[in-house]
Amino acid sequence: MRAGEVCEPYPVVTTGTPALEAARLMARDRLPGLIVTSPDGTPRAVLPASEVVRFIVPDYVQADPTLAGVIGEIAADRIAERLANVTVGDLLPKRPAELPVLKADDTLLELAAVMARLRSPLCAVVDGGRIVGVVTASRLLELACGDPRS
Amino acid sequence: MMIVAIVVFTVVYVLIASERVNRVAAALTGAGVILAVGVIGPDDAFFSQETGIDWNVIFLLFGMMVIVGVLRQTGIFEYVAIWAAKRARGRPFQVMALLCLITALASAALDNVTTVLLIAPVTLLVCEKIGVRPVPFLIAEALASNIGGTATLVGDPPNLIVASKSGLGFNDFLVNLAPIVIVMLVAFVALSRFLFRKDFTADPAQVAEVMKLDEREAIQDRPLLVRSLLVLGLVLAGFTLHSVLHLEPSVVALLGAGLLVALSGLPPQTYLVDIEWETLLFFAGLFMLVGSLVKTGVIGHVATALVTVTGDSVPVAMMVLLWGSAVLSAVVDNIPSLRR
Repeated sequence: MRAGEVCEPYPVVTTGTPALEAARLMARDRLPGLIVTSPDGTPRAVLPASEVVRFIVPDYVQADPTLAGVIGEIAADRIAERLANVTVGDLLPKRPAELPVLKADDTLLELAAVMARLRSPLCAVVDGGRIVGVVTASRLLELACGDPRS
Repeated sequence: MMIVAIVVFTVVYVLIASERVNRVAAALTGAGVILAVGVIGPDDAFFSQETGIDWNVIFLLFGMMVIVGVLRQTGIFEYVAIWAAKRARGRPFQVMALLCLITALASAALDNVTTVLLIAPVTLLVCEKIGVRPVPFLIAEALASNIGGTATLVGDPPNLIVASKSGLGFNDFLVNLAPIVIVMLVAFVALSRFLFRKDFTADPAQVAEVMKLDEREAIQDRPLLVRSLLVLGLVLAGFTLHSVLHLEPSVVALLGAGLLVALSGLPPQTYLVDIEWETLLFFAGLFMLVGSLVKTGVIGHVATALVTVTGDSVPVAMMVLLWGSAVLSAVVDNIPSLRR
């Protein structure tokens, strides 16, 4: 199997997309992350859902997890407010990281190797510089291990 | 050998001051060089009281770091800071004053850096709730930590070094410095009211958010908290009863650390994370570098020159030392400034 054959259509956001909109997209479709592109459509980064979760945790709680408990339930339920007025670009690491991008003719093992090395929950598959689809970690496992229902 | 010792020390000093090289790397490389070329030998470096590593300082720091490492697992620092912010009813200046007081008190018993690292996250939380800029609060706490740390022998590494070389005890520091520190702290808090006056405006609606914080949730392990405070109390008592017990502060700190580790039942990785190995190694390297200056007679020549310059006047000599240390500490870490 080649990456181009197994990849699926996948939602894509740009660096200018509001972060809240991107988070809601992930929540609605239970996505492990999103592909982020530049306005011209070239892949720019992968935004894992875990990175969005990390962003909504205040810095002081990350530095001292004990403080998570002292904040009341009502205030704790409002943590997603931190996503207001920021864009997807603001959630990305300041240092550009290597992209989990594969060519359409790459094999499943090459796909798995990139995912494992970059610890990415998904990989973009490109052909001629354009994204033709995405393979998620769960899709990869389905392909590699087989579907128990079939 | 004297020239080699001076050159190595100067190069290390410049590297540390310029911050182009990690200070531990600079100090340990310098120490390695003076050992390799034979300015001092292993006996001088590791076993001599005059020219070697001051193990009393190293193990006192180590013991206190272990104690803090266990104590911070309890959440007591967070509890006290949030309790204080609520006592101040979220009013910004009162919050700053109380946080400065807590920082100064904690710094008198614990290492300054650790204290600020513990208090800073709570400060960020409280400032966010009040809706004020955290920067003035953090600056005030950093200064309060330095002020408070001056009060005791264990409060600040320079105090440890002064105590080690002068033979001054815990009570000598406490009796002579604590009253001055209290005056300085009061003056500093009063000055902060003026310095940061633009940052004490808060929205009353947001201030109410502070009152909703639940400090009791910060306490992670109540039995451990009781044991930790008990051991900390015993350690502080051990420091003050030096004339009765005849135990060096380093021994008291190590006994306290050992007892607390045994009582806590915590796995080593939980409290060893808080050991500042960088600080300990930096000290070790620096002790050897200064030891090379002592052995080759450089320190003796400097002392003679200082006496010549200042004459027999003790006040002049004090002022030269005071201002010289202050100016050097402004541009380079205060540990090497003082060691020199």
